[in-house]
Amino acid sequence: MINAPMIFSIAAAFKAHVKAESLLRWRHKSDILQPLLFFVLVLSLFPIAINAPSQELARLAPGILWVIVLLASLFSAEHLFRDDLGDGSLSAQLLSVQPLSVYVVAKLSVHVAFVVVPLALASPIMALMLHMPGSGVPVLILSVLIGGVSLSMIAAFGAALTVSVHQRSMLLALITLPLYVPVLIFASSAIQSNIDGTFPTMQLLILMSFALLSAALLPWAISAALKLSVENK
Amino acid sequence: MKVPQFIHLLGSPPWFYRISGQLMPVLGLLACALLIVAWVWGLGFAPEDAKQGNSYRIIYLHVPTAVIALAGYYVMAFTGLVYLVWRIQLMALMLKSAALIGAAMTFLALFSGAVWGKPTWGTWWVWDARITSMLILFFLYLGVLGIINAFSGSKTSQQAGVKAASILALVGTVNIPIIYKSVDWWFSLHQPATLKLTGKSNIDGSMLTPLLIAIVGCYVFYAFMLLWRTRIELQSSEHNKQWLRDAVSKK
Repeated sequence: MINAPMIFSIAAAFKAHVKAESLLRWRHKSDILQPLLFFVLVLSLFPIAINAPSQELARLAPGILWVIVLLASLFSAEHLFRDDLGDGSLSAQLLSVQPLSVYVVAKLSVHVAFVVVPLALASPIMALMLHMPGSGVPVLILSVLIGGVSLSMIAAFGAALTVSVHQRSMLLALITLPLYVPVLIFASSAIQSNIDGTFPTMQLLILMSFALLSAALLPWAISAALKLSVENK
Repeated sequence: MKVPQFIHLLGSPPWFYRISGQLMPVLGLLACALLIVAWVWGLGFAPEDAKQGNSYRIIYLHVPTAVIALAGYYVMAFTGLVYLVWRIQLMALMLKSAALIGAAMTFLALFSGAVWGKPTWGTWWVWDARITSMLILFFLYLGVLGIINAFSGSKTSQQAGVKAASILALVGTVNIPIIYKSVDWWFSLHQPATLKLTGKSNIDGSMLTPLLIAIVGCYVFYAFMLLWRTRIELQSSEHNKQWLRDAVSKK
């Protein structure tokens, strides 16, 4: 017999969502490795395709790394809401007394912890493989951590809009990638600027403001998109 | 919420059908007149450019389409907002039309820019701030069109698609200034400003007047196209309604 109080507080609901979502992620450990594997796979294609001396690769490295981060975040977000829509737990969320954005923020916090953080931690190795100067590495990690928040939010927005649609991959990319552009610009320029010798305070602050802006506003848009996806199912 | 009278009327398809039928000939003739005057003046009578010779004259097509492409996005986002708030079906049809016309205008602006770039810069494509923003705007339009197309099928599915497109258009509205500023910042860092297109300050009055007429003409043309496309969408979505049969048979 479950003795649940009639109305959870928002904090309690948030905690419960985070716990359930983390457990789910933890039980599918291979899903945690997938973005990393994707990262290495795509990365290894560049030296093969470009076939340039290492200093040439090093010059392209910030841009290449960040394009792969974008793609990894895009593909890892594609299935974010698919299972919840399929098994009806999303419909149950809509009936809950808590606003849907609590569920969205909880789910995305876990997503950031399980996808963005590993990507950020793995990025120095990837930078090494592309011979990127070591001075760029701390900013690379920082930019992936900060920029990853906006990327996850934007990708989740695209995923929420397209979750009830068949053949969504292309559509998801079409919706998401244009919105990624500002993050890509400031992140890769931050790394380049640190390699060139100036600490990119401005770029990192702008990335931070993108992260805060998207974390504050996009959960509403994601919730609205999820509602209509449930209606459309 | 109290809805203004104007919005109420917009919710009535027969009213829109009647009014747009009266407006369209006026707008169509006005657009034709303005564009003919602007293009004949611009192509035939405006002075030749000191540096670019005659090739600059594509400005009379390029700039108006680019202006409309950007303004059209806001028209689309506005119809999306009205649709989300008041659920007026007519706005859903207008959003579809605005997306299609806007995408076409953006393509035209990009294409005419490329044609202009070849003689001026010696290359079809330059990764300059404005061109890049325009390309991203084109992708945003395609995203909205893609969403509308993906939700085809039943009537409820189509409505969900227009809602999705409206939300996307609104998110895009917040993003357009951010994208524009970022791209601008990025390229001003990398490229000298000499590659900028003709700025407002350095265009001569004799060239500017036909350009302004062309821009106004293009706006009127846009309004005409928007009403026309929306009428077509209305005819196909309300084809089994009695009022539409009456309106068509009256002609």
